[in-house]
Order: sequence, then C-alpha cells, then structure tokens
Amino acid sequence: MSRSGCLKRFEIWPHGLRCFGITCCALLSLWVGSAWADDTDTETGFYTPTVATQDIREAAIDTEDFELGSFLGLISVEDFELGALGGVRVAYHANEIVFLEASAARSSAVDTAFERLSGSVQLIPEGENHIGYYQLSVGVNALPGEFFWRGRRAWNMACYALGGVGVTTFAGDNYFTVHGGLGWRWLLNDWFAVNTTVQVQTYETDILGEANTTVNLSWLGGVSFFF
Amino acid sequence: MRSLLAFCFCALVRLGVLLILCWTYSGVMAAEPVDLGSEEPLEEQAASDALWLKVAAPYIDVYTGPGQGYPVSQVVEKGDLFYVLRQRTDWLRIQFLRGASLHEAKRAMAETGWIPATSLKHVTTATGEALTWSRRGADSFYARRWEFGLGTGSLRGGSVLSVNGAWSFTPNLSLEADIGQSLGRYAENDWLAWRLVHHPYPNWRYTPYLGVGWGTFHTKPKTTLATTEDRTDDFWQVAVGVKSHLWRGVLVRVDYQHNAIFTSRKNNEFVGMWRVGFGYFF
Repeated sequence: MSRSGCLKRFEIWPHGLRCFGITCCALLSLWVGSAWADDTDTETGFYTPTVATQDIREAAIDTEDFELGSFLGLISVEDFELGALGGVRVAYHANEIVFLEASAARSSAVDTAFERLSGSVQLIPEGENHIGYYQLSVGVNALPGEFFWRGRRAWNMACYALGGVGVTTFAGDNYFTVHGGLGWRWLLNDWFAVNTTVQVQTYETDILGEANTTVNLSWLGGVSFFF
Repeated sequence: MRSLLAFCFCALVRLGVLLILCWTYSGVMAAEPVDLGSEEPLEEQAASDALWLKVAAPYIDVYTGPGQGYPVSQVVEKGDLFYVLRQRTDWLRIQFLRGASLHEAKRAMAETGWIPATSLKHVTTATGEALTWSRRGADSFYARRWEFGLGTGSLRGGSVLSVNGAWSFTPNLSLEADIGQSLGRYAENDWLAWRLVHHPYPNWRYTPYLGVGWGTFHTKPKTTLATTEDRTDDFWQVAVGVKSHLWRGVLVRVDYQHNAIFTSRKNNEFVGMWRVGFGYFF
C-alpha cells in the first residue's frame, strides 16, 4: 500500500467522525441546558442543586452520659475514731471533661477515745453517732490514658478532681460542708468502671463545746456503670 | 467494734448483690451488638441501616476512649463503613470492618473504637447520601419540657442547698417544685415550695424569669443551743432570675427570692435568698 493511499483513508474517516461528534455535542448541550434550567432559580439566576440528605439525630443513638455507682470506704472523723462508710452516687457527664455528681453516704458508729476508755460515758447518744452526708460536686476529668497489664491487656482510665458543697449530719445536727477530692477511674469495659476517691470534707461545728473547723478525711472505693 | 463489723458485713453483702447485678447485666450486654441481620422487620432494618455510615474524608482517627487524651489506635479510611453503637458526651462508639462491603460488615465481628462526633462532617450514609447531624443544642433548650436542678446559695447568712423540678406546660409558663435546706449558725430551715414561673423571652440566650410561689417553711434551732421549739409556717415568695444553656443537656441559673413567712408570732418575717445552680433538661 502506498503512503498517499494510507493518508487518504485517514482523511476520509476523521471527517465523518467529526460530523458525528459535532452533532452529538450539540444534542448533549441542548439536553444539559434543559437540565440546568430545571435547577436554576428563575428570579436570581443562581444554580440551586437538589441534594438528598439524611438527618441523623442524637436521639436515634443510645447515649450513655449518666453514671450510677455505689461505694464503700473509711472516714476519719476529727476528734472521733475511724468509721466505715457506704454510699451511692450518680453523675452526669456534660462533656468529656466536666461532670456533675450527687452522692450520699452513711457511716458506722464513731465514738471518741474518751468514751471508749471511760466505758460508761456517752458523749453523743446512740443512733446519732453515725456520720452521714449528701453532697453535690462538679468534677473535672484529667490525665485520660490506658492502663496496661503485662503488655497484653489495656484498659481505659482517667484521673479526676472534684469539689462542691453538701450537708453533713452528725450528733443530731446538720452542717454545711465544703469538700474536695481526687480520684481514679478504671474502665473495665465501655460501661462498667471501678473508682477510688480520696476526699476532704470541712465544716464548722461546736459538738465539743467551742466552735471549730472540723476536717474529715475519707477514702472510698466503688463500682459504677454508665447508662 | 461489733457495730463496725456488722456495718462492714452489711455493706459487703450489698456490694456483692450490686456486683452480681452488674455482671448479669454485663452478660446481657455482651450478647449485643451484632447481628443486625435480615430477621428484623423491614422498618427496623431501615432504621438500623441509617446508622451505617461511610467515611468520605481521606481518614478519621479512631481513639481507644471517649476523649482527646486517649491514644489514637487505628484509623478508618475513605470508603470504609462503620456502625454507630452508642454515644458518650460528644464521642461516638463505632464498630467497623476495613474494606468490607455493607453486607460483610453487618455480619462480621468488627473492630471498635471512639470517634469525635465532629468527624461526622466527613461522613456520608452507606449509600453515599450527604448527612446532617442534629446535635442536642440550644434548640432543645428552648423546647425543653422537663427540668431538674440542684442549687446552692445563701439565706439569712446560712448556706443553702436545694433541689428543684419543673414542668413547662407552655414555652412561657412552667410549674416548679422546690425542696431546700438552709444551715445557719443558730438554726436550720427547710422548705417545700410550689412556684409558677413565667419566661417572658424564652428564646433569648439568657432567659429571664419571674416566679410566684407558695409553700411551708420549717425552722429548727440548733441542738447545742437552749431548747426552743421547732416552727412550721406558710410562706409566699416572689422570685426573679435568669437561666442559660451551658452544654448539651445542662443549664445554669441564678435567682433571687423574696419570701414572706407568715409566723404565729406578732410580726411576719421577710427573708431574701440568693441561689445559683445547675439543671438538666429534656
């Protein structure tokens, strides 16, 4: 086949293809134009795309912002002996850092060393020598991280600080109490945790005659679950 | 000592019962999540499909816990499907299987982790539709029906602790119950009050309110003072305050109440009370 013959064949076909292509483009542009016109606002001339969206509401998802727990511990009551303590707590986690907590607890009977040594004297009547409190706290989560066991298991944990106000009942009277504490939360899974807290409670009292500021120290350990 | 031992024993028994309940519940929970299979009715299937989402960004970090401070242990990549299991604060617990189809991902025991809810900006539905995330925010505060709160403040120099609950029967009007305790140096007071509260501008960022209430007021002198009798009297009050949305379901409120206590003595008492508190609404 000669070189000129080959060229001629190519010159004929591209011309036919070009005609076909131009016709297709014209038809396509007409169709696209009509489609464009559908989405164009006739008043402003702006293109307003119609995109289907799906709304996901928080209410459709199981939220676990509340924590309910129970604890046991020891409380050292100033001028009195050590007592065992048991109580319950409920917390609302407002965000990943801040939580609001309400708790209530009651201790075993606590006596003074003087009462114990004398044998017969009872300073505070039976039934009123239990310390009880309820308190409202604001807590702050800090130092979140993981707790490892022999390089194979890892659990989430976090420390927290909390402080607030409450009412302590002791010796037949109620005392406005300010408290602060530090704690550690170990999450065994997403919704079950083991907590330990050390806290200081302070209030003004005149049980032993003259008014003074009492400082009680307590150590609590417990479990809680999120729901 | 005997009472201490008895107390410890009772407390341990209670803790034991709680632990057993927790572990029983744990067994129930362990059975979940997983089969979102075809035995469900069609509507439920459609609802569960709504929570299957697809990553549209190059990748999203997956954390081990619900907080920025927890380590990033994995990522989900563009095109990966994941299922939202639950939410804690602004974090979502997700279950995912990298590179799997929706059918495979639904049937497999996939990996889990936490992503911030803000990352839903980079997500579409499993079928590729755009997504809007209706977060609990100021709108739900303006539309609240129920409210429960805790507060602290001052009454006649004594420190106050109180609990209140409110039911909004119109956007402007609510009925509120208030139980409180005030602890002073010489006496303690407690009260129960019912209050009708009007919010003239319920859609403001800081919503003012006015209230009128009625209740009973109990006064108990300290036991260390010379014995005087406890007193219980009726009282009326007017209250003025302001409340505002803080985060998610939390609001903060500050108010002042002026109370007129109708005593059985010669003169009535007029006492003012300041209070600040947090509330949870829904």
